[in-house]
Amino acid sequence: MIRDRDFDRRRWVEPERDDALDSATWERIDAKLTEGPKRSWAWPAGAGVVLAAAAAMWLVLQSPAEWSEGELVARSEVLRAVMEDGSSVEAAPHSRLIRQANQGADMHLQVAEGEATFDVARNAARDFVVHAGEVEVVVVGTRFSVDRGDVVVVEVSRGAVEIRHEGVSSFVSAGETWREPEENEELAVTEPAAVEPGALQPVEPQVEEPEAAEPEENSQSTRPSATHLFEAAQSARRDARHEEASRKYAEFLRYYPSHNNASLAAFELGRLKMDVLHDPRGAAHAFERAARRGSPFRQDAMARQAQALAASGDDAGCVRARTRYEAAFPSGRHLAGLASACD
Amino acid sequence: MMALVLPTHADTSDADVVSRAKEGERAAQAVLYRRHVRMVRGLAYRLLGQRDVEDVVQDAFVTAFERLGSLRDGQAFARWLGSIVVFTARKAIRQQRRSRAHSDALLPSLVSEDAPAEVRAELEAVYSILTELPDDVRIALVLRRVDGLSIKEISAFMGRSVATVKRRISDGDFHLKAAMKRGQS
Repeated sequence: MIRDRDFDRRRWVEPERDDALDSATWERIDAKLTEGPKRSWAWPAGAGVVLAAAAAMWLVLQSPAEWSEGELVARSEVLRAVMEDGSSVEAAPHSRLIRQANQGADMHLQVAEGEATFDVARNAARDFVVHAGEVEVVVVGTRFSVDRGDVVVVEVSRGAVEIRHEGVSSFVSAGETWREPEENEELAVTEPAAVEPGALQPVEPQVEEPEAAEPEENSQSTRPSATHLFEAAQSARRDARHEEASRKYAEFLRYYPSHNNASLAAFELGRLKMDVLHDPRGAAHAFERAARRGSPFRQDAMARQAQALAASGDDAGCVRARTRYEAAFPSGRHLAGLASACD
Repeated sequence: MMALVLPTHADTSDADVVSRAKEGERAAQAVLYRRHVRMVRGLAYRLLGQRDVEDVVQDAFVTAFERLGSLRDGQAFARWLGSIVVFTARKAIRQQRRSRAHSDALLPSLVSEDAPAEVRAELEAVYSILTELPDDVRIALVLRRVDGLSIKEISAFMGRSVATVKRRISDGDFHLKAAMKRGQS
């Protein structure tokens, strides 16, 4: 093993040698080995684990690993697997993942132990949901990691995810980290208070440029590039410069309405206006933009639009928005919440 | 009670002994036990204190021998066994926390009185804060500041990415610095 001599202080914290104790312990170990294992190392199936018919789709690219009946168990090495839709998962050593049965087109996985990183293929037609304890991470096309340690930590490096915990939804975008609140902790902070500045390295979001730029009336204009504008908006949001972020997202949407990140920008703008800037009417407009057909945020944006309209006092608008949501998502996850949003 | 008497096979590598142990040869398993029990007990002791150490030692070896078939490189047995100890100790720490069985007062007393003053002060500070820390931070701090393992080794032991390990150690160091400042004032 590789040790740092400056920090190797084992000899100062060492139990006394006891040969008799060694003998006694060996006798117990010997007896247990003679008995044989009481359970398989594949772990007994827990509540909620459903054998996945699609388990055969898992392709193990690295060993060692055991998987059986919808379980992926990584022991001493990293295990990578590719799913049928092109999404991939990387399980850290001593991790256990469970593949649950698909719910319609939606895919559901559980991080039962350890840590895993997911690279999810973009597909607006289905949700990709990762469960970790009491936390659900819902993604539509992104890269993120879920660490199920003492508390669940989710880091997003590309795209955005929705995190559901104890009935509360949080949206986390590229470069942000969400941490499960501990017992007696009132808020889920995005940075643990004990971490020194700089200890966490933000991941730069990956921005895709459109193939054709938006036509410009004045070709001599010094309009900033889509990449620059989007990154400026994201940076301002992360730094809690809410007004500036709001302006940048609005500018991005004005200049690049068809950009791949336009839906995300609209959704972020809606969140800012609703949750921070107390502009529900502006939020409703932004969410309507984010809810356009083909948007990966369509379901959530439609629900939030209805809520924003209710908050702005437009009950009739809320009812119309809710009706549209119910028609588009008859089994949608926001049905219960919207039922009481407006009359 | 008779002391354990086993052939040492001192000139036989771990890889050779492991390959025999994989076939179920109890004598080979006993050799591996004898070679590594001090490492295992010491590691468990530094992670847990006095309580539950023997249970962790026993469970770690039983697990290792039951799962030996999954170890491809017999020469890596010690490191692999260490990761099983950490895994098993983590469960014991959680159990201690749930049953509120730990005792803060006992932990700093694990440090030898013969340690140089500066070393002793730091180690006592480490052990004075352990039960306050989240389990992963506690484990990372001990593996780094007491066992002196490299970040990469800690990552392998804990089954966490290097980035996560660095965060855990950074968290632990933050609390350690505060504890040492309190100790100086």
